[in-house]
Formats: sequence, structure tokens, C-alpha cells
Amino acid sequence: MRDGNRTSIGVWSELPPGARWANEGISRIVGFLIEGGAETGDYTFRVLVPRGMAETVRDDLRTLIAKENVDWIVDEPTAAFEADWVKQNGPISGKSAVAASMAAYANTQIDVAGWINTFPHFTGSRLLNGRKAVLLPDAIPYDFPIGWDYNHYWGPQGEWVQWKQIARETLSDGQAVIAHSKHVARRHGVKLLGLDESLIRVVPHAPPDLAPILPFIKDRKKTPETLRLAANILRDYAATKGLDYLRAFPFEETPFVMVATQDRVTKNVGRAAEVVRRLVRDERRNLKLFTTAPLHHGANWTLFPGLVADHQMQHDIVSMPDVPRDVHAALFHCASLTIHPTFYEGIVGTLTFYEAVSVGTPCIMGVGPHVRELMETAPELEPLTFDPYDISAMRKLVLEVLKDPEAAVNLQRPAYERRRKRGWAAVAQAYADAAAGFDGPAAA
Amino acid sequence: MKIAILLPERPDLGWRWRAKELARSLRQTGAPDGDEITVAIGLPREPEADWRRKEAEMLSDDDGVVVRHLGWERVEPAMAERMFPDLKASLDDIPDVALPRDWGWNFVDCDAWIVCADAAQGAVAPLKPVAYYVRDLAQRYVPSAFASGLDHIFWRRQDHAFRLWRQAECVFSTQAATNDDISGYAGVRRDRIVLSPQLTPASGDATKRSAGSSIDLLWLAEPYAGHDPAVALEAVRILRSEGEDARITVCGEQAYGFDPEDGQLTLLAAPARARRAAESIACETVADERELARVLSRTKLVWSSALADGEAEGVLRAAQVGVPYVGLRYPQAERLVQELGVTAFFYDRSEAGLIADALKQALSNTASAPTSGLSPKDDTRDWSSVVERLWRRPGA
Repeated sequence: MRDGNRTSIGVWSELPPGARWANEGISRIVGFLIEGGAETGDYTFRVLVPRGMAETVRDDLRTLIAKENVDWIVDEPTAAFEADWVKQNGPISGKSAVAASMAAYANTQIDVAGWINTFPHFTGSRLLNGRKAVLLPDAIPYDFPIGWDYNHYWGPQGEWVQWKQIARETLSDGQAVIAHSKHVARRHGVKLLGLDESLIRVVPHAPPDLAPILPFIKDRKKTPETLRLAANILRDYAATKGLDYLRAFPFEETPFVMVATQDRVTKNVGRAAEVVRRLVRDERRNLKLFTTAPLHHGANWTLFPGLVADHQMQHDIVSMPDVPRDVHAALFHCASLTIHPTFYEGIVGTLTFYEAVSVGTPCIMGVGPHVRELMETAPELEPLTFDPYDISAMRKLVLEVLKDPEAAVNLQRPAYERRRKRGWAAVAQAYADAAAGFDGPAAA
Repeated sequence: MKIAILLPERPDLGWRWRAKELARSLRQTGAPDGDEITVAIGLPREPEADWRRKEAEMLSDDDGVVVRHLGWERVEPAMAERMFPDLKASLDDIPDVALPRDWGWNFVDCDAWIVCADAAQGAVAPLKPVAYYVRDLAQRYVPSAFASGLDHIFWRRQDHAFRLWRQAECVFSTQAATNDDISGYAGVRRDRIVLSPQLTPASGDATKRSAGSSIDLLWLAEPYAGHDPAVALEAVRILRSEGEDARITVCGEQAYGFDPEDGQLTLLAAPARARRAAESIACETVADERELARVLSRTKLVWSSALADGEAEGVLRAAQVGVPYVGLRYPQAERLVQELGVTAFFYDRSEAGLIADALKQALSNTASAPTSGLSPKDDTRDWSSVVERLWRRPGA
């Protein structure tokens, strides 16, 4: 549980081998927590994943500013352990068996002060012997129920129907529930899932800071030299990945906007793409959009892939999913502007706002509960927000900001710096407290 | 200094007159060391009679310009490197490169190449210092004129072409907005992009009025998506339905595509009612500059339905014969109208109603809209900004 002055905190993930990890929402939060813990040296986060997934996670965590086997350790049940477990319990043939064997492994092999379960549908955490805090990122399907396969998700035994029950049970089983915002705590935690409000701790994210990934950036400012170095990262990546169109591409000379997100029913990437389509095709402006959203060709729950395919916009709306952290940061730095068109996030504000401003790029945001909660303490951000349905308003704001991106980022930087005063070290401590109960009645 | 001008695989009339005028301009510019520039134009091979006719069209009395047969050959990059050990270029992952064959020295006897850029051609092996001449990057704005979908081979060839453009000595166009596309779309660094002088077609025959009835409106168009034929025909239908009986002639190298008898495939793509509008217009299919000049000399007004022609051929032709112009408003067309002093009637979007309005306005104003013709000196400006990029000191 303690190694020298460090406390071990378990991180529970049932994401199976082959699942996306790098740059996924909660995976990024795990990364930030680890970096926060590394700042103080108080914790070792022990990430437990199903067998076969550990190396994927290690590859990602090795890009953090944190030391392997000191600040973090990734565990997976060993083959020998699973073989023994199978002898006693039968074959590992489904999710629940995987989770059960993981829990058995955790209970016997991993000594931690408490666990953080990263998703409420990871039911295996209920088998853990120790204390646990369960994350409640959000309950998006209950806000955005249309767009999912109706029978699969919303039938009497549909996945989201079951999710609600499973989430309620898993969250109630924990000694603490961590929500990232007040709006999720109230609307999803209390109203939808019926949780006891006293169980929920609202622990907003600390603003992420991408500048340390690009150490040549000083004072969060862009210079021709920092842009050149960031563009070199992008060019190297394009060459390594065989992205023909982007090999030797002059990113630092090319005006582009960035949309950094997955594509989900809430993400509204299609409307941001439509803004760029209008600016390029109808108005003949020299502009591109780079996005980390993948193109889910044929999907009808999103407007994005259809727009790219119907208009053959793939050279001006460029999808670059699954990029490593330095490439992600370099895209943010080289972009003239980031757009966060999302209807809804489970956090306070948007990660892209913090990430963009941290490397000198402004971010315009669609208004939703997440942005309203941010503006409670940063009302000055309001001029750089828009109705996410209003393509004309988004277009107008894009053009306004492109005229003087420096003025826009100067407006946004103070809000970022204010929030940064509470860093990831404090958040890591809050998570550890919730998991281990250091600040609860027992600790007292 | 000997410069090759290499035409694309299927050069249209516009590329042919540009090659001729570019050769003339290079001859007048001269090399940086004061030496004269001679020019070898590579004209793609076709049946000998047709090739000879086009050769004659491109030659003048100047002995310093010759026309050679050109055949674009494709080989694997590794093979090209074995064939030409001096070839230095980043060709990783490119499946094939194009080599210009001339049934002789294959243009490596020239000191430099000016390649008339065609992204569909893919990568061109740079066996000599290369400059690319880009008329436009219309595929950025009208992709359906080039490819049927995201997986079309055009896009892969374009990406390979762009990689070689980025490695060239320079890429030039005549329009600042096209240079923005060369930067932002083709990804060529700004310090390799040159704004070149505007070439213009020789006024010559077009200013001599030819026999035949006059044409109220000459519609310059080819039957493919880049000229938005269905929408343009619908605009003609609206004009007719509103009582406009102007004599309209559609003219182009494939204008037969608009003929109700010959152009059924093209016309099928248009709505039935717009298709019928084709019956009210004449078609003039032209094969060379002289035939086009004869048609131009009879017209009072030029309309181009092109959506993204970076050197706005319609504006150039209107200027050539000193008549007003009708066309879509986009930066290059506006700029060229301004440069050449052409009276223009623009429509803001390629929509039938807007086009019909602009045409009506233009038709009712042609008599009172004098416009200046091309100055014969306009096309002899200094090309040294391009030549200097290509020039190598002897022995260097």
C-alpha cells in the first residue's frame, strides 16, 4: 500500500485488448492524474487492465512526464495466474469472467490504498476487496437517446437500459462517486441514477497543459521558430505513417482550424466541418480543418463522414485519429484556431479549450451545460462562444477570430491561468482521497 | 539555356496556346547570364496528321522554338533511378513516376523543364530542374469534375503529384488566389511559389470579323462538371421562358456534347426541361485556335460557366475580342477582369436563376458596354522570376 513515502492507488479498467486507449477521454484523464501524482511524488498509480492490454497502455503512459515503475505501473493478470484461476473457476469466456479473474488478481497481487474505477459499467470493481471510488463521467445516452441502434440499446434489455441499472449498482457499491462537474452530479448522478448526493464528490479537471510536451514553446506564445518545430513533428509523423498528402506539408504556413475530439452523437463535428466547407467551397477561402475525429463511413448518427464523402472534402477536412501526444500538441500549436462544437461535455468547460490556450491557440466553443458552468467563473469567455446549431454564427466567429487570433487567445489566457492554479497534483490528491478515504470519517 | 515546356497527357486548347505564348515570353526574357533561351515544347503524340496540325499551330517564325513528340511513360521509381542515376528526389511509397519520352534525348538535353501541371498525371520524375505551371487547382472546388468519390485513383495520383511539386525549384501561377491554393491545398512552401506574368492569347485572327451571322451570346463550355452544364442549361431555359430570343452559341472542344443529337450522354445528366433548352442554342465544336478565333470574332458577349478556372479563359477571350463577359464571381476571375479592364457581369453562385439574371442584364447592356481589347504588349512581361529559379551556372 505504501512504498516509501508513496501511496499506491489502483486504477481499474476493463477495456479489452484492441480497444482504443491513446487520447481517449478517460484514458487521458488517467494520464493527467499520473502526471499530477508525479509532481508531488505522493502516489504510485497502479493501472490494472485485462491480460493483453498492458503493453498498449504502457506505450501511451510512457509518453507522460512521469516515471514507469515509480509514478505508474501497469499490471495485467499473468498467464500463470489466469491458468490457476481457470482451474478453480472455469474458462474465461466472457466479460464478467475476465473481470472476475482481474479482481482476484487485484485482491491477491496488488496492494493499494484504494481503487479508482474508471467507468461505472466496469462491474468487476464490485469484486474488489478494498475501498473504491467510481467515476461517473456522464450519462450521455440519456441526454441524447436518438442515434443509437434502437433495438440494441433501447429494447427492454437494451444496452443503455442495462447500463443505467449496472451503473447505479456499481456507483452505489463504491465508497465515493467522482463527477467532473456539478451538472453531471445533479442531473445524472442524483436525478437520473438516484444516487445519494453526499456520496458524490465534484472534482473538476485541472486544465491540461500541452506546453511541456513541446518544450520549445515559451510563455505559451507562437513564434515562427516554434511553429516550424511543431510543423516538423507533424511532417515526421506524416512521413512515418505514410500519409502521402501530408508529407513535407507546410503546416506552419497553412491557415487551419482544428477540432480535437472523437466523433460521438454529442460532438457535432459535422457542423464545424460544414463551416469549413462553406468557407472553402462557397467563399473560396484558403483554409483547412484538421481533426482527430475518425471518419465513421456510413454512420448515420453523425453528419461528419457524409459531408466529407459527399463533397470529397478529404484534402481540406483532414481526419488524423489516434495521433501520439506530441503530434496532438503540435496540431494544437500550428492551428490558427480550435473549434469545440460539442453540444455537451461531462466536465467544466472543454479539454480542447485548455489544451489550445496552453500552446497559444484560441478556442471557440459551442454553448452547453459544460460551457455555462465554466462561464460561471469566467464570464469573459462569452464572446468566443456560439450556438452549436447555428452554422452561420460559427462561421462568423471563425472569421472574426482568424482576423486576430492573438487577441482572442489573450482574452482567454487569464481564465486558463486562473483555473490552472488548481493543478493536476491537487486533482490527483482529490481522487486518491476519494479512493482511499483519507479525508473521510475513518481517516479522521 | 534550353528549356522544355512539357504539356500534360491531354492538353486542351488552353494549354496549347499558353505553351506557345510562354515559349515566346521565355525567348524575350533570356537567361540570367545574358544567353538566349531556346525552347522545346513537348506535345503529346497522337495520329500524325493531328499532331502536325497542332505543331503548326504552336510554331511561329522563330527558329528558337521547336515542338517535339512527347509520350509520358510510367515506370517504378526504383527503375527510374536505375535508368537515370542522377535522379534525386524523395519518392518513398510512390508506385510509379512519369518520364517524358521524345524518341530522342527525352528532354534531358534541356537545361530545365517547365511542366504544365496536371495533378491527374501523378509524380513526374525530376530529371532536370523543374518548375510547375499551375493554371488552377479546380479539384479543390469542383472535385466531382475529377473524381467520382473518395477512393478514386485521381486523389492518389494528385497526392503523388503534390509531393513532387513540393520538391520542385518553383511552382508558379498567374494569380495570387491560385498561389494560395498551391500553398494551402498542394502544400508547396511559399518560398517556392512564384507569381508569374499573365499570359494572354494572341489577338490575331479573333479581331478580324469573320463571315457568318453574329452571335449575341457565346457560351464557352465543355460538357463536364467543371462547367456546371445542367445548371447552365437550366439558366438558358429560364431565359427562353422569359422571352429572350438572343442567338446563343455554345463553343468548346467538346461542344458537340451539348448538341441534342450528338450529346445525349451529357444532356441526360440535365433535367428534362433544361435539356430541351439545348434545342434553342447552336453548337460550335472547335479544334484549334483559328477555329475558335472565327467564332469569337462574331460574338457580342462571352459567357463562361466554368466554376473554378484559375485563369478564367472566358475573361481572356472576352478581352481578346473586346466584348463584355458573364461568369461566376470568384477571386481569380474578378482579378483578371480588373487587370484586363473587361466589362463583367458576375453572378455570385452558380444557380440557374442568378445566371439567367446576369445574362439578361448583360444582353441588354452589350451595346453600351465598351471594353478594351488585349494590348499586344500585355504578354511580353518579364519571366526572369521563373527563369532564375531554373537557371544553373555552367559547370555548377
